[in-house]
Amino acid sequence: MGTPPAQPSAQTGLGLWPYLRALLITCVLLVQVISATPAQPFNAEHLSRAEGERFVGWIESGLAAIGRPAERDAIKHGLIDGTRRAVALRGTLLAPFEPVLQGLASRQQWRLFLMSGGDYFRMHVEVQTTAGRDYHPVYLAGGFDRTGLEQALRYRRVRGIYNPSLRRGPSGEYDGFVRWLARELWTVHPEYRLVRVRMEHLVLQTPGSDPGDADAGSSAPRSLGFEHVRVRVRGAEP
Amino acid sequence: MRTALERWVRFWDEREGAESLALVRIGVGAVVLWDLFWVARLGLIGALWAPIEEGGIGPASYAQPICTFYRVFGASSGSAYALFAIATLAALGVTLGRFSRTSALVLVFASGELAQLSPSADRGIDTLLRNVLLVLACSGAGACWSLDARGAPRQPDAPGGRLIPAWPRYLLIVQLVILYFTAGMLKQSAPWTSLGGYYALYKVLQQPHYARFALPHELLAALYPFLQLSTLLTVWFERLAFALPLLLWLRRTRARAGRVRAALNRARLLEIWIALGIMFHLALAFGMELGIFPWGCLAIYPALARPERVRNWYAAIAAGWSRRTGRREVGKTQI
Repeated sequence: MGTPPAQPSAQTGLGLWPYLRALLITCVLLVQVISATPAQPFNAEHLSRAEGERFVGWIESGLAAIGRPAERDAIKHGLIDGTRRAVALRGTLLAPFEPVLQGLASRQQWRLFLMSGGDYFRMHVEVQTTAGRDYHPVYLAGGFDRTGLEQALRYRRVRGIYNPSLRRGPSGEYDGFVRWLARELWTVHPEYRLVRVRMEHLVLQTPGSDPGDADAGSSAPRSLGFEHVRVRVRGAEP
Repeated sequence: MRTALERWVRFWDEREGAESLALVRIGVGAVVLWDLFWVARLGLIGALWAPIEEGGIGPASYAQPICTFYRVFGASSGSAYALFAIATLAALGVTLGRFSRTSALVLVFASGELAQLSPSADRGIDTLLRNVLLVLACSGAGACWSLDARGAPRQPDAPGGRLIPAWPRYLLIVQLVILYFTAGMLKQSAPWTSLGGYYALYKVLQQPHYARFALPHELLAALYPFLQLSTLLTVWFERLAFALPLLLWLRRTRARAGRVRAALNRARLLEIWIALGIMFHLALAFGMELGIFPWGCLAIYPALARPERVRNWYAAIAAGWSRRTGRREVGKTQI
């Protein structure tokens, strides 16, 4: 790292282009930074979560420390109104650039592995054959695979389609995914009459987190049952 | 004395060797190429991007073609395969440095079209790589280690053969800072903080949709304190990315006086942050099935190194290689 830094293109006077370029780069930087600010305002639900309450508590303590105490409810209203205005301003500032950003599918919202709690899901795929009405499991995420499609099902883009969010559920293309999966299975297994896809809702147990629980100490996740159940019947497909 | 404005303009007017951006170009191109190859190998081109009527997952259909490419060429499997082929050729062009700028622009367009055809299948890493490719399309990343550079005239006074504008590399550093800092700041929920006892990684490793290995609960429970510490480190690694420009500036101006500057440079905080980042992404690649995410992020890291440094690494590797091959040849001769 002891080498000299990047060199100026010319040691003498600058022409018009460098100024114009610096202006353009400054605009790009501003757009990127504004685009990186939160696109959603706070709402009452956000602020009622543990992290929201803690944040409000910090502001409450800060205001008290500078001799301007405020009620928690007033702080919450202030935060909701303030962030609504900030998000509206963000929208106004970015509006001229939206067509370009959307056209290039470019953005700066990086919600990487944000998780709201200990809930998560596990996909089950089951089939009924023409021989009976019993369900036969053919795929369990992280368990076993009798479909021959495990690699495709674990591929990041496909997972993005079926993996549900606790609040928003699966993506809008979830039904299309189940339709595709059923067709793939029927192609290879003509004996399958029906395909069912469902998500088991699991709750994480952290070690020693729930001493009152009968399973305390096992740290195995607890199942809350199945959600997002979809069924496709052969012959009923369009 | 220069004004602040002139210093700002001169900063963005700087020129440097092309090695760092060339490495980013090769890395990003190769990562995208690998991802597209993987889609083809899994037979998912039609499923992900064809219209619903022709077996696609959606949302594109004959009635709602969704993207520009479909509107112009028609919503069909053929169009989906054509778009895929365009993206693949462009990714190859970026990697090999053939029509580097045009290839990068075409890849941004094709990737953006594919994103619209299957929005849920377009992940954060795809957006990140599109952002990077846009910058590369405006850069001289093809001036080195590329087919474009073969036979191109060399600048006699340039250390690496050719000097290119440095600002695209600076913009990539800003991109990394925004990526990590905002991701870190948004991690305010219980699993990532003391509110939940930093159990995020403990949870991630149990999620069957993401975890590469189905580890026994007893083992994960035994590793719990380590995973809590790793969660804490992850969050602070990401949040501390805001200090990256400062650390790079201190390193660049290390010859100037100042005890704080000297102490921070001596502490090698920059190297520590980069090493943490590399370890973080390698751990993700090993422990989780995230596809190209860790590799796509790591492909941008060469932007953090100055071209002189990359050139020195290259020279050292080349020298080591020729010593080894030379020794073998000598050995063969002796035999």
